[in-house]
This record gives sequence, C-alpha cells and structure tokens, in this order.
Amino acid sequence: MTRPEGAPHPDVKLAAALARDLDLAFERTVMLYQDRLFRFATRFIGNPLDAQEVAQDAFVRAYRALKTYDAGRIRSLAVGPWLYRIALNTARNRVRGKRLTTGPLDQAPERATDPREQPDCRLIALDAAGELEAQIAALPLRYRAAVVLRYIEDLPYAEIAAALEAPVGTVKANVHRGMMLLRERLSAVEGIPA
Amino acid sequence: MSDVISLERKLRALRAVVAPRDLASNVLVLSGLADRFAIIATPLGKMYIAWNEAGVSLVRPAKTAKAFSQLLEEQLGHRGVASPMPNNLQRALERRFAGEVHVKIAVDLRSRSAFERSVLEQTANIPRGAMQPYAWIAAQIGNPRAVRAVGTALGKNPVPLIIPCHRVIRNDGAIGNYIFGEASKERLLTLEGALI
Repeated sequence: MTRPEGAPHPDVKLAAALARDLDLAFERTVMLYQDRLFRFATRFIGNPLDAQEVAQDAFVRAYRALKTYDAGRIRSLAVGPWLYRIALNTARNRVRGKRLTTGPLDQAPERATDPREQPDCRLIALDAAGELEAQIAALPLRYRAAVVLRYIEDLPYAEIAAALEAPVGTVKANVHRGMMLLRERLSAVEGIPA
Repeated sequence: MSDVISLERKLRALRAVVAPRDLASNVLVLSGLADRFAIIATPLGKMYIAWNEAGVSLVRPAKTAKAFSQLLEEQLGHRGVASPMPNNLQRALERRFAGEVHVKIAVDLRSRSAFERSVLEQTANIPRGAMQPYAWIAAQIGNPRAVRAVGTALGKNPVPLIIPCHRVIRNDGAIGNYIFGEASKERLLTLEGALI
C-alpha cells in the first residue's frame, strides 16, 4: 500500500484510462479491485455469499455512473475510494434492508492461517478468527467501515475520509472507537484474548 | 499497547480473501460488456449461441470457444464468457429447432442499425413453411426500393435460425444467398416443408 513519496497514485493512470476508453479500462478496473471490494464486503457484512452480490452490484453501479460522467469528471476521480464508497453504500443498504443470505458452512470465507501451526493451535486460531469476524460484523456501521478500511484494507486516513465522505478527524475518531469496542467485546468472550 | 498491536495484527490476518472466480465475469455481463455463450445442437449442426440480459445476441458456428469469443468481440464488441445455458433458454431453442412455431425467444438486436432491425423484425414474422422475396420485406418496412439493402441486412443477421432469414428468397424465385451457404438454406427450407 505504501508508495514512494511524491509518486503519483496508481489510480491517476487508471482514471485517465477510464476517461479515454471506459469499456476497455473498466475491465481492468474490475480485475484490479475485485479482490479488494469482495474482501471489504465480506468483512463488512460477514457473509461471502452476500459479499459477492454486493461487490458485483457495486461494480455495475460504478460502470453505470461512469457512463454518465464526462471525461474531465472521470479523470478527477480517486477511483479506489470512490469504489469503496459505492461498495459501502451497497452493503449498507443490504444490511439495513436485511436482505442477507444464510450460506452453507463450506462457503465460509477463507481465513489466513500459518501452515506451520500445529493442528490444535490452528483450531484455536480459527475459532478466534471467526469470533473476530463476527465481532467486526456486529460493530455499529460507522465504526465497522472505518476499522475495515483502516486495518483490513490498509487505506491511509485521507483515502478513508474520501471513501466515507467524512473529515479525517472524524475517521480517526471512528477507527479509535471501533477498535476500542472490538477489544472490549473480544475480551468479554471467554478464552479469546484480545 | 500490546493489546492494540495484537488486535491490529489479527485484523491484518483477515486480508487473505480472494474474489470468487466468476465475480469479474458476472460484472462484465451485468454491465453489458460481455455476453455468456454455450454450444447447442441446431438443424445445421452444433453452433455457439451467445446471450445477455436482452436476449440471444449471436448465433454462429466456430471451431473453438476462443474463435467464437473473437467473433463476438469483432461483431458485437463484447467479451465472451463460456457459461452453462439457462434451462428455459435451452428448452426454448430446442423446441424452436424441433419445429414448434409458438416459442418466444428474445433476441438482442441493439448492435444493428434501425433499418437492419426493421428488416430483421419483419423477417421474424415469416412463418415456418413459408418463403418471401427480398422485395416483400422492403415493401413491408416502407422502403420498397431498398431491396439490395434488405439483402445486405439479412447477410449480417446476428441470430440466424432464430430470426429465419433463410425464408427470404430472391424476387425471381431462386433460393438466393444465405449466411451459412446456399446448401444450408435449401436444407432448412426442405426441413420446414417450404421446398418440395
């Protein structure tokens, strides 16, 4: 995520390509951002089946919006934060509308595990990761979005602020508050150290 | 402080998520940038059929899926996504090819000009077992002098067999050209009982 100081954000080139030839560059945009939007939606909603639909809907909404924008407006877009914003709105609508799918257990999201871990340790780690995922998905929406974008998506505060259309100070406060809530709730769960 | 670092580390461990394989192709199809396609048996042998939200968009024979994708890109400017055909579309096509008359199959003619669309829509009205000359189509669409242009539009029919351009013949009664060759046209008309 870090890049040399002064180097242009890779989204600048992508925005220019979208302005030049939307249909061609949109496919590249989807390839570049599909993992990020799907991961964001998965962590935000806590369900990979709904997350796929959210990510898909978000991309389609983005494409339809871009079709209506002139080249100048597309060039000035911060593509990443803009896409996260659309995904967030799509996910939020779903969460509020409670149109969530109950997925089979074998389609649960892949979790990062260290293959060198012993089986017993791995089981405990999976339980802990599952609890963490559940607690993230249970955070109030404003804290959840801020925490996921900061610590899972690894976005700098300025980009989170752009994605959430909020001042950087508010974003920092929401990340801090969300992390505090997470720690408290994880500590309250027996056997799961925060 | 160590609690904070530990939680941040655990959150970062949740990054290992990869998008499902069909997410990107679904997006392209839903955005209208790609069509799905599959292979199906027709009265002229196996053909590739592409479809999207609007309907069937292209029917063409091809040696490989890759070759058909290239055709799709050249003719409609769409990427191709090989997919299982929805059951309702598969059944409708099978019934139509078996000779059932009243089977509705939506087609996507958005890639055609207004004139080409009117030619193709008029052609779709020619019933099985019948034939009409190019001049009849031209007259029906209010362009009686555009007989040659009718032939050109039919030659570019993206969905032959579904829009039965093989039922349009020359004004002198000769069988005329066909997108898949004159012999195929004759075979189809014979199958339909139009030629004795």
